[in-house]
Amino acid sequence: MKVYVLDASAWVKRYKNESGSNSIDALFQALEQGEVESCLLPVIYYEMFWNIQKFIRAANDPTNRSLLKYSPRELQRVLESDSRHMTQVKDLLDSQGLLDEIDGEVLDLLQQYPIGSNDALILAYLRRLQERLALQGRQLVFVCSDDDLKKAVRAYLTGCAVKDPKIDQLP
Amino acid sequence: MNTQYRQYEVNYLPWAPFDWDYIGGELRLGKVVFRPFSDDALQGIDERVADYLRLYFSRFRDLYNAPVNTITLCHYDPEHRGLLEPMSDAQQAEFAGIIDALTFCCIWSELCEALNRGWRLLPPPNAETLECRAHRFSPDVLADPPMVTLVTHGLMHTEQVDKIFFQMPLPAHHRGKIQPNMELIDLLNHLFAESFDPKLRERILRSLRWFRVAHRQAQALDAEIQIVEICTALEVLLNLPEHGKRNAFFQKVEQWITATEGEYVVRSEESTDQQRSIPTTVAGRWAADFYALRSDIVHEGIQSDERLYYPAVDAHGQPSQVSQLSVASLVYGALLIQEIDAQVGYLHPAVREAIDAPQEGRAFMNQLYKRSAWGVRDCLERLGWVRPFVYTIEEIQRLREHWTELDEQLGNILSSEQIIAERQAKRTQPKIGGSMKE
Repeated sequence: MKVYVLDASAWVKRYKNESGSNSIDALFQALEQGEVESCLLPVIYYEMFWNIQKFIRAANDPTNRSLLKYSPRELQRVLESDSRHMTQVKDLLDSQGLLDEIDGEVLDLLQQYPIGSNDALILAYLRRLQERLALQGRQLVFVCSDDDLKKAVRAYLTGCAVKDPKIDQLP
Repeated sequence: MNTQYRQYEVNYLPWAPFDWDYIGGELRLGKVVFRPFSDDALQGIDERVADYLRLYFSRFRDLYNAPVNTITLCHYDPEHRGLLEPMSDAQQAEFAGIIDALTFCCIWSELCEALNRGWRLLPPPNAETLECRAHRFSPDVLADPPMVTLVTHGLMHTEQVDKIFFQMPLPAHHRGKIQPNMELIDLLNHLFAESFDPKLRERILRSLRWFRVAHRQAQALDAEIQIVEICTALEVLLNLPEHGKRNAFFQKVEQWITATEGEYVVRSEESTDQQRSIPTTVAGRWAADFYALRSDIVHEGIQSDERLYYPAVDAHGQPSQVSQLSVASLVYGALLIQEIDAQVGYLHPAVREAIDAPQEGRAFMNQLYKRSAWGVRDCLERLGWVRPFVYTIEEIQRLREHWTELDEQLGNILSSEQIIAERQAKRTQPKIGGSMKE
């Protein structure tokens, strides 16, 4: 079975009409029906929270109230509902000691690749997740619309499938 | 070390099958550190005493008379006290409260899991699984052969350690390892902090005692009594008034579920209640009926065991029955968490770790993380108390259409371009020890 990790650049298409939104919907439908599994990486989760929180705050501003058709809390509920189909990758790895010495790996990555510290953390998590899944005969699929991050994942994690909902049909 | 004591005391949980790989080497709750019994745990202890303890603990046996590997040592205040130093009465009282809290954490997490899935893979942990014992002994029992003094029916008698066995009680047998909810342990740690309101702590600990008592493995005849015990735990926790407890109880339940779930709460369709206060939600209806069940058990007895069960649905939407004890325990746990959270303003560990997160995102993130960690909502769905968050593709597309329109007017906050642009800004910041290579 494939395990999907959604980058925030792809996940956000669930909540905003962009090229690739239908593909992300199809992935969520497969998740709800238990046809695929998905994992959450902490860094990506934070990014989603921040952007959705910023959006809700702006939408709740009294000057924007007239634009609202639905309560902004509805977005929070959809996010909560979507997250329920995903496993926290930290829970998967931490208990088995697979996150030990991750800081060292992050520093090495920062020296090797033209990436930011969040990207390096994502790569380090993905590598460990990929190793764990490989032992179980499962494949990791990273879903992302950020070209630089896609490039870094392809360079660092050979064997990891990288899909962009703008181009690829999911799941 | 420790040889200066005239009497030694070791506190332990003989049958608690903690998953130490999952938990890590030790578990801390309040001032007590729980560790698996091992040679490492005996480091620094007089070798004669250590040998005695090895022999003593080897006499704890499972149903097949094999030595158990579940002995968990409880070390009160290890920073200041030796493992075998006897506790004062006040320390023992505090320790007992910590055991009650630990029992709650172990039972409640598995209970939620069972309710969420609608079935159980394993029997739930019970109070017997987490039974806590103290063994007091003086240096003279270390003589050859080592002896142990037992107290039964108030009478003390001494036995040769290598001639006796301590048998695992049947309710503690045949279950998998316990993986406590670590966030819940983290939250309950606050209960034992000095800054916590002492009166509230005392009330919560009293209610936790009743929770533990209600979860002793019952004989069939005691199932009714468990209802009374868990109801007492709820009464103490909620500090219900002397009179009008039933109304006060369902009102508290309705306040809680309405505050946490808003318009998703399922309303009660009908009520024939002639009293002034009538539950308006399905959860409130359960609370009113549950309190009536408790009163019937206490005053009259009940005619049918059917009342001890509550209709629910399993994870596949199929009808199932759950015990009233489980439902009441869920409500108890949810209200306890709410009470402690409100006192301490609990920050989920993931939010504490996200030190670079903007302040504005933290509250929202904290709320979602906590809801996910406690797992209450899914249980409420199974009980039919809240409507599930289920969105069809059409609903998502309708909502997304609106959010897209709104976001464009708000300046494209919610877009992949925005996320990527924010990342790019971070990527171009100078890095420690890093070089930008193409």
